[in-house]
Amino acid sequence: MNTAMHLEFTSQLDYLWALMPEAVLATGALILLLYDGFFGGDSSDNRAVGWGSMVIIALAAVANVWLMGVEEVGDTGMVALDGFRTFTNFIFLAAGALIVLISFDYNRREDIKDAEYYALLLFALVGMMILAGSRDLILIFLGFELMSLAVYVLVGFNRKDPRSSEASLKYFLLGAFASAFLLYGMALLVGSAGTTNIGLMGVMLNAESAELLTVMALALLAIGFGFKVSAVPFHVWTPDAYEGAPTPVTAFLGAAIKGAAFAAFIRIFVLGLGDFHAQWEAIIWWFAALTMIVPNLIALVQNNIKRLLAYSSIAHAGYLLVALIAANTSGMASFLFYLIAYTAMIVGAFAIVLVLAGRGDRYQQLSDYDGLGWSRPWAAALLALFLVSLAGLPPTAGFVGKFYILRAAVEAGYLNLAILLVLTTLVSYWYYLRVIVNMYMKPSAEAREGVAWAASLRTVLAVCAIITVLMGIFPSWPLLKARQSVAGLRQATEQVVETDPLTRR
Amino acid sequence: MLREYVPVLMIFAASLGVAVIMVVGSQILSNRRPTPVKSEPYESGMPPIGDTRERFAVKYYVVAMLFLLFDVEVVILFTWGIVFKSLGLFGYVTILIFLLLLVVGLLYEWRKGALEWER
Repeated sequence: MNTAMHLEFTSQLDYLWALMPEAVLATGALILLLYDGFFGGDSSDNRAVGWGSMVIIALAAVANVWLMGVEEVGDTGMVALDGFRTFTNFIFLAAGALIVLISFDYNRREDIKDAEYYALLLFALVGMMILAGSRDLILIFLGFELMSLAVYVLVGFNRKDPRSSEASLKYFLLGAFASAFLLYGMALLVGSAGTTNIGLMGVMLNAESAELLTVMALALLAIGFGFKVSAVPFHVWTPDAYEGAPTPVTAFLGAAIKGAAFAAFIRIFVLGLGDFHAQWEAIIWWFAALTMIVPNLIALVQNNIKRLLAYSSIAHAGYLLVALIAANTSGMASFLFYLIAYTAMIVGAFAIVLVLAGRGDRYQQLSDYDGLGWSRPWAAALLALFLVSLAGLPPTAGFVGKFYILRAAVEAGYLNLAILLVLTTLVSYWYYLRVIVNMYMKPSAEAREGVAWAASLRTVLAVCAIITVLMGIFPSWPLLKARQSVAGLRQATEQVVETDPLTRR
Repeated sequence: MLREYVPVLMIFAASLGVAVIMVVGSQILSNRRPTPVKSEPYESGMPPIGDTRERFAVKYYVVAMLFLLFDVEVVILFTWGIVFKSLGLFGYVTILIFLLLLVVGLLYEWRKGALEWER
């Protein structure tokens, strides 16, 4: 990057530049739809569309690299141009690419022919990037809905499977309800702050004399986001949706969507309403505590691997909530670090579950994994690696991520939550290790037909495994990058406050 | 500002009042001699043959959905038309992009056969 481009938002074209990665993705998704409409026919194999979406994701990543060199000047942009946004964009794009790669074989096996699967995936990615990168409540809601609507459809995409339709309907009904909570909270917040801009909100509101209106807005927003990140007690949809959804979509739900909702959660609560920490702390504390305890206990008695991973994913939301409540630079950096690690391990784990389940997703019980260590040593070893990382044992990325969250919590003085995190992690060892014990210490189940490991799937598994191990051994570089991104985040907000005519004193 | 809506409120009040007068008035003034035929839902109409909660073909829902989409489009176009001059070229290009999105959707529907009734 020779000279950094400056965006002042004086010309309307600047908005296009600021939204370049999203624009590339959205245009690409539209072209995919048109291609499918005019040239797709009823081809039984939509590999062309799948590879097309990979190319589009790569182009969006290039645009995102270009965006790193762009700086915004002054003004309160609706879209943030900071390190936090580019960082999360990269994670979402990488997750999207991994999901596309594991979808190829799944879609062929389960006879999912429609090319709009990939288009919807891209639209959901656009929604996530808008959600995590905007600095304005209206745009955040727009991203939230764009992401959610695409995913409701994706969850029910396996139309021949009644479980998939059931999951989609449950997710949609509860999700629409949660969106209403979120929107109501935003309306109250705008009513009390007089602005939709998150950067200005902290200045317009006086935390010393918080009105009832603001506190109610905080509670409603916490419910709306709590649903999307599946925090207890708003988690009941999670196991059903995760179990019924096509397995690549389950991985997508677990990795990217949760991350996007968390990013917006952090932007609103830590940056916009950071002064209100004393008010929202009590709500989020209970969310975090319950979200760590409840799913870890329920997961102990699960016998379906997808449900087990769903409860594990709820528990991870609890650990991330600890990073959120710490509300310091370490907390946010550890969130970003954990997001990469979590994406790698959950996509890897679900990729193996996807292949082993066989046609029609028949083999999903824990008993189907008996003796796998001897009949399929590679699959078992990789699954064991991902599970160990999810459990948070060294030397994996999961361990380092949990360690950083613990440090952030202790720095912020939340010793009780840190102790709870350690205790619930100890409980969680039981159910992760139970799968591994099944794989290595039980006699093999009845012989099954062999499964094909396509090249795309092997690539995904290799990438996920390498990330999981490397980030466990050399965590300093990604953590440094995460810290730099978060530092930019803080700076940008302060800049907004200083240069906006509304707040200049 | 709220005062502008007083006529709307008056229409609501008037229509509610008329409805109440009709229902309550007929209760007070009428003579009742009910017979089984009279107490049927449609006294001089067809004899009822089944439940009203019929299942509709899913095609109707597709049409309703497409209708809603273009209905919302018109709502947005109206609001844009009001401030067309002050938004200038930027507003024009923005609304063109919006229409382009909808046209892509329409083309997709057409190619996928959502607009065909008999299939």
